Amino acid sequence: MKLQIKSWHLLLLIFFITFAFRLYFTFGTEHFSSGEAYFNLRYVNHLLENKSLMFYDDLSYGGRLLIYPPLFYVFMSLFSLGSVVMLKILPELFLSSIVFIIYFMAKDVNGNEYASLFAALLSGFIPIFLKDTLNVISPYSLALPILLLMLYSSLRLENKFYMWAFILSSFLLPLVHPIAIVFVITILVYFLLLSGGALVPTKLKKEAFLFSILAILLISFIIYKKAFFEYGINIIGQNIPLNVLADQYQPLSVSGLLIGVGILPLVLGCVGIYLGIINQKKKPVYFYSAFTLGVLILLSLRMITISVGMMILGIALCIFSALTMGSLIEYIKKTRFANLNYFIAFLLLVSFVAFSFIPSYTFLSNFTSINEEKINDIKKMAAFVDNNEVILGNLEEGHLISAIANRKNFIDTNFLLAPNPVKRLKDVEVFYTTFSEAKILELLKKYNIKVIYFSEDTKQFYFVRHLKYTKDNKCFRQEGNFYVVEC
Amino acid sequence: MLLNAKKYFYLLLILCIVLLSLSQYLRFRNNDGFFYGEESYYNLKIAEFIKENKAFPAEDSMSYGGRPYVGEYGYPLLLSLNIKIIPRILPILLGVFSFILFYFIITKIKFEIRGLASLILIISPTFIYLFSTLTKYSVVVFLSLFAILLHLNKKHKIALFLFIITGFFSFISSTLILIIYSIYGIFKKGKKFNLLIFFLSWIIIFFVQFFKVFKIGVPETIFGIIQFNINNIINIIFSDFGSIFGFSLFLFLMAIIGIYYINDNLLKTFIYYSVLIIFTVLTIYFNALIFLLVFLLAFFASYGIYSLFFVDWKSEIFKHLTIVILCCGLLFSIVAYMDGISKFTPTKDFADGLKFLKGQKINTVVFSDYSRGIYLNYADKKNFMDSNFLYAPGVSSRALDAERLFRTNNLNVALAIINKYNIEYIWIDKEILNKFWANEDRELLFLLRYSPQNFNKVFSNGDVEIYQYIPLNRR
Repeated sequence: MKLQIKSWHLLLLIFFITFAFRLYFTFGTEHFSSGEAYFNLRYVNHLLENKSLMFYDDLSYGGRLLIYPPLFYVFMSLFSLGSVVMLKILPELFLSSIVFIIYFMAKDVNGNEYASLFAALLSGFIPIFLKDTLNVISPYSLALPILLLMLYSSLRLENKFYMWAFILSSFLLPLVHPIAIVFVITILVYFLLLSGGALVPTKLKKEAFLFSILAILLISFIIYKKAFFEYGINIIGQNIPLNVLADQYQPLSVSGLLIGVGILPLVLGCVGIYLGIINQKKKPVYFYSAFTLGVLILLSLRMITISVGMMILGIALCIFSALTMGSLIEYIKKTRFANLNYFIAFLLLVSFVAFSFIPSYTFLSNFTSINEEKINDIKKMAAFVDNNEVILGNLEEGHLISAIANRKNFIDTNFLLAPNPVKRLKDVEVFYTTFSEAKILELLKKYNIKVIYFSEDTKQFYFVRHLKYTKDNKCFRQEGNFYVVEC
Repeated sequence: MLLNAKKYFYLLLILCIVLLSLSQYLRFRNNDGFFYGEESYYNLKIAEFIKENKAFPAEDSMSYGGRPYVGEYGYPLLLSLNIKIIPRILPILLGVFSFILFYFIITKIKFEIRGLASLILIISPTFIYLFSTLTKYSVVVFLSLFAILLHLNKKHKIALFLFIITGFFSFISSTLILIIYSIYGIFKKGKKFNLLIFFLSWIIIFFVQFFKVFKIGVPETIFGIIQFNINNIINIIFSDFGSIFGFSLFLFLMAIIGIYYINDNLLKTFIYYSVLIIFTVLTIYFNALIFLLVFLLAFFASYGIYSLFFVDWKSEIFKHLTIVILCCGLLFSIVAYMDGISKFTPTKDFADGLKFLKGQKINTVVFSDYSRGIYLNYADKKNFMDSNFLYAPGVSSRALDAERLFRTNNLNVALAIINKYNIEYIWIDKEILNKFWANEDRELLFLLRYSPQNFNKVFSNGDVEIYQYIPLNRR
């Protein structure tokens, strides 16, 4: 793929803008933005300290088995060597690199370089993508570029380089994240679209797809063997309690899409898909349409969370926005406004700034990381609890308790193979809302809880101001935002 | 080519013996030798009855509080010849002979894949289950394979005889064989007389074993209370999703590839796929179909690999990688299955629970999920329900009452149902906890745990909790 020097420069500029934008917000705070990041940080540190993967977590749920695709943690350990700065930079670097792949994908469907550059620019500023991936150590940072690279390579298998990239990605992707299922669904939808007879897939492509589906299935079965045996096909629900499930797997709404994906990618992308399917009988158009449809199917079947679904959907729509832009540019060239090229480019940039950059900036300016007070509270709590005792916090605080205080948590968001998550989640609610001292003392004893953390987030979540049973009770000693159990 | 040399036959034979013995050894080492799967216990119970009474049971007093015995006599009779030794040896012997028969059948049908097909068969979890537990279908499979081989060798009369006697082991399987034989007979000339004999024998066998159904009348349900949904089908047919007798997902995928290559005719391929799908879906009601299906799948899957090997590929890299992954998939399934054998019900703790029950007063009613009914019978206790739904008395009302009892928060409702059926013990284990209450203290579990004046926990270990109901007059 030969690029003109000018395009290269612009593409690099887009990459640096995206990267700098992400780093600006990432280093704007000392801490990470979510509990998940701390959960991943623990795995990386464990790998570095023990030179082995963690298969049993002493601290999560008071001790439980773990299953997860290990490659991301191996990769992060190798390249960060445990440095928090590197652990902040590396995910941002991977995620920013998506603009390169989007550029090439957009060129596949459209051919117009400027439209493709615009698509790449849009992809760096999808609000939900920024919200969910900024300042967190998340396997998505590696999985998404590999997924996109795999999709892109799928269309160039005749080239040895891309063929090997495809083969490698087929093995790596399921080892990084279960999002590999998106690729399997994409292939199935692609063949369904082609069954209309408009286009015929090459023999090589069929062979490659057969191989990749089998590779993804096999690796997923090996990784999740225990969970498949435990839950059967219900593993799709990941053992997530129903109320959390309903929260994470909400139905897709137009307003949600507008806010999450952004107006520009949504409008331009949808028009692009329409133009592509109706006017252009090209394999890349069908293939990336299959990708978009596949994500929609997974969302409607509730096999991926709403945030992940919208994130991928946003990326897919950016690819197609290039098609709309390209068609618009071609159309204008045929009109008497053809000499207004620079004005149109300016207009596009303004619309990007107005509808993508500014909303993302405003959104992230109000975006907070884990606050200092909470971190200090958790550090303080550790002094009151020995290694076998448990600290109770709300669901979102579980990973923080394990990672920062290095103590056992009562519950966290890693539900797969977790012991009784539904019951524990209900018990957390009991701890924060009940007035029955007898019930609380029974639960404290049962779970060996030494400290009850009563953070501002918990107060807001459960709509409570006080723990009623602690009032004038010698069993509980208040230390700032937490209560130490003394009987 | 592809394991066809004679020496490989002996290697496969040794592998077959090793795998079948290993599955038994694993149960001995980790589960005190308790067989896995409820069917073994059903057959053992009937065999014990035959041995003790020197007669076939007319009724099963332990099931559903008493019901007519409607079942085949062949397999329990075989086990009753020596209740200690035969159950241990017979499955392995049948497995080894079935493997040999399958090998020779494939030699006749498609020589090129005989080694591969046999290998795929013996590393299939379904094959291991079939010939490690006490299921009547092991004999049916053995007899059918023997009959097919004789048929291929033009020994039609003996083949027909073997086909007919399958009816003494599984009448449904015999019916299926009759249907297939009829289709075959219609297309082949000179088979009409054999077909007539088969049909008449089938009727006679039905009368000999099931004459009492004319007195009892039409059963209340045929398919029982199993819910039909995609999740259930997948969980039942694929061992990779935790089924104890299902086959490997990769075997299924390879068979799909095999069917694609075996026919150049689109209509035929479509028919093959349709039959495969229908059979697969029907396994939710007739689990036994899996045992017959696995032999067909092994054949098609090996043809799939064989074709992938010899068909022209655009890329040699993809060809080799695909074949390696398929083989790894099959190996993974059997390794995962063997690893899970000691965790299948009944586990050691589960068996301890049964031993405890066995020591309690005989013939008392124990309430639990229907999937536990046969195990409870084995512990000499009357079950509330079991998975043998055919001709079970009041199966629908019992299913309804069971659901009400499991789900009730009201102690009075629970006690009313318990008194109605004279229930004395309630059996709860990990799987039931998960299935009904997601490990939460609610509904019946809450009542059991927090109503000590009504329920006394008499047994508890890592897996099982047994509660005894305390009637009003004993409080």
